[in-house]
Amino acid sequence: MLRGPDTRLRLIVSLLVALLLPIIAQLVRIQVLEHPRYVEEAEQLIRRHYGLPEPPWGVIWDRNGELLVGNAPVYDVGAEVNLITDTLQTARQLAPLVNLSLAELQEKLTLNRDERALTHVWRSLAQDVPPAVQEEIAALELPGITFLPGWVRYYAEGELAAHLLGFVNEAGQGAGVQPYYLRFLRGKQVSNQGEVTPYSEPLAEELATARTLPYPGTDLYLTIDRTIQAYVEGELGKAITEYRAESGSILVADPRTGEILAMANYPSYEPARYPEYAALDVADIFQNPAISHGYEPGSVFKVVTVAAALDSGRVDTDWSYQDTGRLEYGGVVVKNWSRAAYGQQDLEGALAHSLNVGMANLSTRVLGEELFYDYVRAFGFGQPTGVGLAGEVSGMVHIPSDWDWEESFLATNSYGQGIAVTQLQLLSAVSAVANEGTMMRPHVVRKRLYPDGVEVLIPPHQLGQPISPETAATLTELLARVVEREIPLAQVPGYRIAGKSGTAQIPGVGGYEQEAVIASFIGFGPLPEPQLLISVKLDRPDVPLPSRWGSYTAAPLFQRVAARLFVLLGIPPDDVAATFQ
Amino acid sequence: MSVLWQQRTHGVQRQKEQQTRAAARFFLLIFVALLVLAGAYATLAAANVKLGEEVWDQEKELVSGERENQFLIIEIARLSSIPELQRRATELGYVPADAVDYIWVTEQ
Repeated sequence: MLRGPDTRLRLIVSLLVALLLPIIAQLVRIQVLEHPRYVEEAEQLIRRHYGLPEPPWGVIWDRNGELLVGNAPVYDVGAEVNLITDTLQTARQLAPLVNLSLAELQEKLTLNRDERALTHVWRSLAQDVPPAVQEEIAALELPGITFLPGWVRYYAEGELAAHLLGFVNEAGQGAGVQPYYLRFLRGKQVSNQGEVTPYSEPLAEELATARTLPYPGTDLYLTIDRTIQAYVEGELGKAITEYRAESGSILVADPRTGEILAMANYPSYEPARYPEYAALDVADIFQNPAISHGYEPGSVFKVVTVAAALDSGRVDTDWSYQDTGRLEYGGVVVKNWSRAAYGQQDLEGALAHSLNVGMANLSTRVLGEELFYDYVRAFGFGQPTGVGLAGEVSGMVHIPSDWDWEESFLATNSYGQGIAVTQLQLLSAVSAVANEGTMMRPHVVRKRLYPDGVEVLIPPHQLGQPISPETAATLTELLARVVEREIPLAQVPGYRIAGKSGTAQIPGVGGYEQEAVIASFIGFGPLPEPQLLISVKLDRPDVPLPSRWGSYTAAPLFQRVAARLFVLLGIPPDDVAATFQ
Repeated sequence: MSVLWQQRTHGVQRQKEQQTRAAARFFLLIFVALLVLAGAYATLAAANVKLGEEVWDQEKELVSGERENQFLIIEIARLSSIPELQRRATELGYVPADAVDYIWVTEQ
């Protein structure tokens, strides 16, 4: 028997305390001893990464605002396998829409033995699914099917300007302008970690303190004109067929600014399908020959030699030499392309007849090693132009201090042998002649447009002034006469053109190949204020000699391109222009 | 009990009563103030949640609009691409110009 209220009260209190003790013990265990584990578990439940879908990349436009590369919205379709109630029915409905066989899809939608204990199993079913198909799948209202929005690059003109536009793979590598400007083009997805709702959406508190909106990429406006590019590519394709050439390139630029208006290469590829080329092991096709392939330029390099000689002040247009058809220097015998002697020749004659002996005379007897290579460097050879495209190479220029230098290089380099240049370097060098001695940096991006509307114009950049305006004017006149005298197929009716053709031998095993040549022509016009500079190169044209020479293949191609571009750009013929002036 | 003592006692009682009432009023006031504050906080929190949801919805809408915009951009580009323009021009009977002549138009 309990003896009084006090005792009973004590007993009740003791009981209550006894009941409370395990609760307190549990609280201590949960709140103190196992606190970190429970915190981690709780965070796993409520704290997750959240964010809005990936932003689009910057769009690429041509100089007139025509789309070249855009973004096509797509979806990655996946399945939360645990949530799928009827595997067979789901597979039957989905299979035709995701291009998978019924068996394949069923396998993907079925949990493996190891996965049955898991609460969350997700599998990818299809990637880059177009919105129309995604809508069809969504309309089926299948449980457990998920959609992750994404983008693929869309090339509005297919193969057009493929080498210039290029691509970027998932590793951030690629070809063309896109990998070069990747830091601008690629948007930035914003991914936060915080407390989320059961629907994986952030809590309001999260939104108050964190940015969720992704940063879209910056648009690029290129210098190329898609109409000019399309026309040039069309003409290149026709010429490749006509002259049965293996490959070829045409570059069109404005010598006053260095803007590239067109850059056409054959063979080309479809940038949107780059993984297929890579899978077929033909990834070499991604290289842009105009900037990535060094070649011996041959006679077109004579423009540089004459420019150097004139600018040095050691010769003028009255200079002449006795052409005996051969010149021995550094252990090699330099001969003219025709193996003939041309007698007394001046600068114009040496250029018009494209005389190797005349050029070797200039480099070895007039200029000398130091001066000649100073000019070669000043014209930008042996260094990238900085055009703004991935994969540009420097070419190869041997200078007297090199270990593998040979004395004969001074003679052979003067007419474009024993030196490797890119077509773009040559274009850049000749732009100095067309632009009063000032060499502009060739470039392909005209403007950047940021998502907030800020425009950043890329101003023309002067690379240097390798020759004086007077030298440029004199050489331009010489080159115009060369075209008028010796290269009629390059003449554009109604316009005065300056230019030089070249037929370069191709180095092979133990010397030069017997038959194969690189036919080229570089010219600018209309004079006296050139607005277009065009470089044409055809590799290994397979037509009978002498039809494969540059003056018979590359020159008429130049003529066709120049004639049409003058019209497209609204440049009136000389007589009409003179009338208006 | 004398009258004086009773008055004193009542005075003490009255004072005590007064103090108790004042304390009660004070705590009531604090309680009401806390209630008002709690109400205000709850309202603010609710408004914040609603606003957060709206912001999130609008951001999602913005992203969705951007996708639609990009789709329209490429659709316009597809319809105005050179191959498409050539196809339509050919259908309409246009042919490439072989020669282009400049005509000098005198000003009137």
